[in-house]
Amino acid sequence: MTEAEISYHAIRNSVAFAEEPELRCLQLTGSQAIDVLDAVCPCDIFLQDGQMKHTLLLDDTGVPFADVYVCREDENAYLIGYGSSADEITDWITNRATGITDFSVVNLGESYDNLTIEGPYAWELCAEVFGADMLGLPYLGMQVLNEMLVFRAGRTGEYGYHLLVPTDQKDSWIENLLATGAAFEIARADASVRAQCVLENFFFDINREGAYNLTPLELQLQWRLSSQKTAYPGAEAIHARRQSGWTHRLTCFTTPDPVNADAEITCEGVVVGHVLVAGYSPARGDYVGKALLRQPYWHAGLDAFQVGDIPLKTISAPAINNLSLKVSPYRHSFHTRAEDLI
Amino acid sequence: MQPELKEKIEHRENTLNRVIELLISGLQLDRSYEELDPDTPLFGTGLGLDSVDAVEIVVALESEFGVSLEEGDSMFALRTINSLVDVVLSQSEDNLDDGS
Repeated sequence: MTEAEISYHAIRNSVAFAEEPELRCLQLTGSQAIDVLDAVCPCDIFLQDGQMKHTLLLDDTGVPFADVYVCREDENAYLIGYGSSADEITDWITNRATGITDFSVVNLGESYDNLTIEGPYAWELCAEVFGADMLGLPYLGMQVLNEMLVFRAGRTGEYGYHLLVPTDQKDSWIENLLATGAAFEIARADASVRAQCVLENFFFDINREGAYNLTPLELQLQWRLSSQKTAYPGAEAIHARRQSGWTHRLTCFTTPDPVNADAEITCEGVVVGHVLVAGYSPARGDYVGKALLRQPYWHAGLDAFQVGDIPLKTISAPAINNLSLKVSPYRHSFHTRAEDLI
Repeated sequence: MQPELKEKIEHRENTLNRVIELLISGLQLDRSYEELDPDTPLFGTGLGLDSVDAVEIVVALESEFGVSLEEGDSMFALRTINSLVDVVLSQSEDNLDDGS
């Protein structure tokens, strides 16, 4: 197998590890830390201690510039995710938190490093390396474990953890992870392989479809927005777009052969949309992608499209059924996976 | 647009509308029809539904569409609104094939 194939196999079948320096992590402190989150995020900030919520940061046109989780832990708030740099997000938050004074933003990237662990057996390796407390952490949960911050989240559809470890401990934790992980067939996952897994599971990628100036309405990300909240950056643009209606929608598709980003998609000889991103899916054995299709062609389950001579079929997302859906920390183990009949 | 494709799109859209209405009314979702995108995840992230909601959905699908979910299939069928639509359409096609 090639390095990429080994990486992919680890994410989908065992455990993979990545450092992901592009993951931003900001800590908001002060008595008004939660108020700041509420002012800048388009979702409702009703967060219990240790609870995370997936949302976006929007510019004034309603277009996301960061794909983030927000979290509350004790009196502090956290914002982790992808997109603009930590400094840009910090400046933006500071400018947007008008009238809110008792808070400060700390870029944890200056003193911590991220280790991302993903795969159907990520929970088992994490429990062995970092302690059994990891098993009790629910999806979209966060906890402080000794000097480490643990966020349970991911974009590959498999069990996922973002571990923020003090920078001076990073190398020893990696050494420990790789040594213990050998029994789990752990592999390092490179960015391109992870991006392909994100695509297979139809998770939003701020660096791919996020580059097309689309709003959450076209991106099928309205669930990241509050249905009640009216005051947040980008709210007026979102409201206006809802009033006028939107004509295009991001739709998952498959093709038997490769297609390029920006390629025209036709139906009965008429252009009905464009490919935004596409790539090979080892799990399926064909190509999957995201297209921007116009109404009424924007539905899943249609096989009436073409990219040049290549047939294109729209499907419901996600494009694959993840093994993690079948693996339970209470009943299964990587070491008995053959007998577990999963 | 060819009549066959037009009919297929309308059938998909009608089924999607009915599934969304079923979710809104059955689960008392605090969302309007326009806010529920077809590929919205149902559990965990997305709408954040729980196991009680899952039972409600299974019962409602059977009541509204005559669709029954096998235990092994439900974890995949219940992933998104669109995956529910797929199950409804797939089983209604099976029923047509059976002549039932």
